[in-house]
Amino acid sequence: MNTHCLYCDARIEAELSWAGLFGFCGVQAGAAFCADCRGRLAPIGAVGCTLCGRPADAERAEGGRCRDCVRWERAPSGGEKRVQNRSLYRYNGFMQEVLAQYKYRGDAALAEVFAPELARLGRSFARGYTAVPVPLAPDRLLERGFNQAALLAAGLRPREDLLVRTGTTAGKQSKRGRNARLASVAGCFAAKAQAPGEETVSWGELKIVLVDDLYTTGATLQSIGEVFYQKGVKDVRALTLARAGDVADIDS
Amino acid sequence: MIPLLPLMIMTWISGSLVAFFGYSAAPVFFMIVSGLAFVPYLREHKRLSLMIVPFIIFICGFFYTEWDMTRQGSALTGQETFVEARLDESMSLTSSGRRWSGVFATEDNEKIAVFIKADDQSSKAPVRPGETCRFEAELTKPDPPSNPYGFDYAGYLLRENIYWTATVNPDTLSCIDKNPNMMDRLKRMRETGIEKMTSGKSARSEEAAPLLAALVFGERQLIDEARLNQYQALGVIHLLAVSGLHVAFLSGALYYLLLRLTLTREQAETALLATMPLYIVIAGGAPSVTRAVLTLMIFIVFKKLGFRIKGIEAVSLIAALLLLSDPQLLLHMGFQLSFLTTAALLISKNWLTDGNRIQQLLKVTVTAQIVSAPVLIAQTYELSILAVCANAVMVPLVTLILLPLAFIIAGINALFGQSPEWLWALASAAAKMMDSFLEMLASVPWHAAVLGAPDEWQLILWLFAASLSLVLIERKKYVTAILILTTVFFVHFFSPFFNSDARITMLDVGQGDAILIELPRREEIILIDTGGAPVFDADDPEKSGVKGPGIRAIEPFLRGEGIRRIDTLLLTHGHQDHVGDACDVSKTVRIERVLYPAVLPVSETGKEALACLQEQGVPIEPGKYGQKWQTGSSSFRLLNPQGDELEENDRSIVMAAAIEDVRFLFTGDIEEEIEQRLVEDDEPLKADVLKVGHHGSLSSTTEPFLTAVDPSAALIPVGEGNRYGHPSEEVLNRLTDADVDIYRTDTDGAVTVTVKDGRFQAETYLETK
Repeated sequence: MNTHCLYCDARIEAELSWAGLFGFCGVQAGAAFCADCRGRLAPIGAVGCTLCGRPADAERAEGGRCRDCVRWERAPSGGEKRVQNRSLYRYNGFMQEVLAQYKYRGDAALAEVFAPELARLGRSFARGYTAVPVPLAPDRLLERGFNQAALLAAGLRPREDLLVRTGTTAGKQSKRGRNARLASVAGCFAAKAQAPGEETVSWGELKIVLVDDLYTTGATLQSIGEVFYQKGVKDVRALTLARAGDVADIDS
Repeated sequence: MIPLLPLMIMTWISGSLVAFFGYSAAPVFFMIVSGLAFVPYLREHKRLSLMIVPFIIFICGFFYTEWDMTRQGSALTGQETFVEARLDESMSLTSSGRRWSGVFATEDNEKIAVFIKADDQSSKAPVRPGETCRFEAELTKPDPPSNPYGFDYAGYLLRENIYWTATVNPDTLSCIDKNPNMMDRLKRMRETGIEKMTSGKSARSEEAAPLLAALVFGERQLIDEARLNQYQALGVIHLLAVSGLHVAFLSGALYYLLLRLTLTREQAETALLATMPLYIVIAGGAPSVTRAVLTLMIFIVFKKLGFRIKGIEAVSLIAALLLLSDPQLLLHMGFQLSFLTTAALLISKNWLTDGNRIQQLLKVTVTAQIVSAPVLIAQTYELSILAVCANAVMVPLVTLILLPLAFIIAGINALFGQSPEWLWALASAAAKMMDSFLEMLASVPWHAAVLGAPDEWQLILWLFAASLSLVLIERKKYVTAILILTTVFFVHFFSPFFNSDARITMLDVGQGDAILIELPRREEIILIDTGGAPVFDADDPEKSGVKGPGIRAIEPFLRGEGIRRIDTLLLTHGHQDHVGDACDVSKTVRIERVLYPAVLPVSETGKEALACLQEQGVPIEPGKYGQKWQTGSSSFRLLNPQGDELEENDRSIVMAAAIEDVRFLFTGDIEEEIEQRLVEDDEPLKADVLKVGHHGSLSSTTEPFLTAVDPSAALIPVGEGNRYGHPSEEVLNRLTDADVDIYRTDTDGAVTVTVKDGRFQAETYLETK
């Protein structure tokens, strides 16, 4: 058991509780945040948009869809089927710092906190789906040393062999605006029909849940979704750690 | 997770509990819980061999307690006539107000409970703490209780390591005051403080004074006993125990004052460290105040040393220290409640601190009620229903108004001799408010539910329900928690209605009758007579104002059996030793009807009792020869009186009962003449159990009557060493010759006859001498 917070390294005090007294809980599974850090995370309770998983209080939606999703559906370039997304937390200031420490400063252990939580969400939101983490470009993987999405998907028995990154988006998504993002990801991914040493995947029987760290516009996930849909996959969903897109979140 | 230190101490306590009570419900439950609380540690380290640690601690707790018990014993023989001893604790007036009682310690440090007759003129205690006295006294061992659920005075003294009581001849008392130590001086300060608060010119409110004395000095004796019972029944008695609340208030005020006097925080803390222990003595040294003050001190010391200690660790450390010094404290209900509730509130902290002030207050009360319910039910046999409501009003009233006033008045009294009128007026108004609120709640029917002494399985249910509901409440599953608690409540409440045995209990009320019949499944509860102080006792000033021997035995018995209603109160005849306490009984329990012999004129004593019963709204029915009734499979016939009897004893209602095929004959105080008439009238008198007439007097239980009844067991309610010489040797011989088993209250204590499957079995409460 970790006795220190994985993010701020403060000592975690054993919480007194009746459940703990009677022995049914107590040890947090493996890694943990201290109560302070945990308190600064903003879990998404109810979703306001059933499609992209935007938090309920963000903006008023029409028929359970947020304005973004409606716009997407009306756009001529929009694909026929959408990727439904659910996220664990809002992308608030604190989550921004956590992700920065995780991805850019290489604190891969942070995934141990979130992987079980994503797995739990996956069991309710995408039961029976095959988890596919969004792959990194090889040079980025080399630079970072790990795929942040694969580590987050650890609890979902991910298959990294079904999807490859064929093209690179020059530079990071985080540095682009909405339209640039949408344009940049087109044609970057390809589905792999056969992994070495395994039998051919019959796409038609498959349901896939994509795993990634952050959902902003959904461009990446949507373009991957289209790749899979074209292969005949029945349904593609997405699980992400954080849901961005609300200015209010960043400010808080 | 529970930190290791409290866990170890819990394990120690379960070892100690097993030493006291064996492997019964509470110790085993405590043992299991401390085992379970270790589970997270096991999971963490994945080594089962770690379990050896709690096991060793458990064994140590067990053997330490066992060793402590063997260490005790008296060095006195009981033959001593002159005693030289030092007064250890302040003397206080007993409830009759006629005697002072106090604890003296001999030179070998053996404690003796001493009684000294009070002087009518002076309200000052005859001896002050620290004085050494010589006196002539006869040492006696306190008697064990002779009735089920009776107050165990001997056990109470034993827990204080006292083996002897002594009644002092005041003429022989001579005391000298040789160098009282610091403790003695503090105890004297306390005595003076209480005196100034409650008597003489400086006490300016009769209503407020006893309450203020309880709040500041932890002195409860001055509060009316009936009032104390109301506090208990409404679950607010904790307000009268000096505890965390009081200590926090006092130390907070002191700290603030010291800072104002330009001391630094560190200096102020040191000052608190030096002065607060004195308050333990001033407040009477109850476990709750000791706990509270020591907690404060531990926090200050740890802060000074630069360590952090958690509340639960501090509290358990103090429990350990106190139990090491005296393991018997664990048997003290005040100790149990004080530490249990404190620990529970610390564990529930996250839930408690959520919400506004009023919600928090309610949550604290609910938590405290739940955790103390098993303790209270096991020891007081009742559960306070209105506790949450009573606490919601009384806690703010005490903490915000009465407690500050009490300390201010005590402070001013100590400095200037007496406090200004207006302060007293305020205190008096607040005390009156408290009293009227108490009265109001206590008048609500069902403010407290008498559940009866729990069986082992019922106690397990309660322990389980309390634990589970605390876990559920923590997870905000309130409905499930309430459901579980109410289910257990009703299971306990209604369980007597499923008992298929009948029980007939002859209680020991001294020289007098009181017999309780409980029919199977509570079909009918019949009380035959109520006992009562003999008239010559009522004249004795030493005994006036004290509860009668009848009610003293009947009230705890009804409570212990969980009896909430008497269907028939049968008063055999109008003599003090049979109807004396009828009035008090009717005030404790609802009575459906009273049967009284239908012979005129009614005796003076009888009139008094009947008038009181009538005032309580109890219907009174005349009982005479020929009446009969049937309840379930039991039937009752009245064989006497016929209406023309002249002697009061001969007017006694005689009842023949057939309870599940076992026949009983209850004869009141009838004498030879009536016995003869019963025999001659050819009444079917045959009975298995005979309640012998007139306490075994020679005037009754004649040869022909005995032959006609032909009992196999005889019940004789009779007072030890009574002035009439009952029971007569001759009657006893007659019974023995007729091969009858004799059961008598003077030597056997209460006697219970259990009827089961058409057979009966008698059991004595005391081991027959």
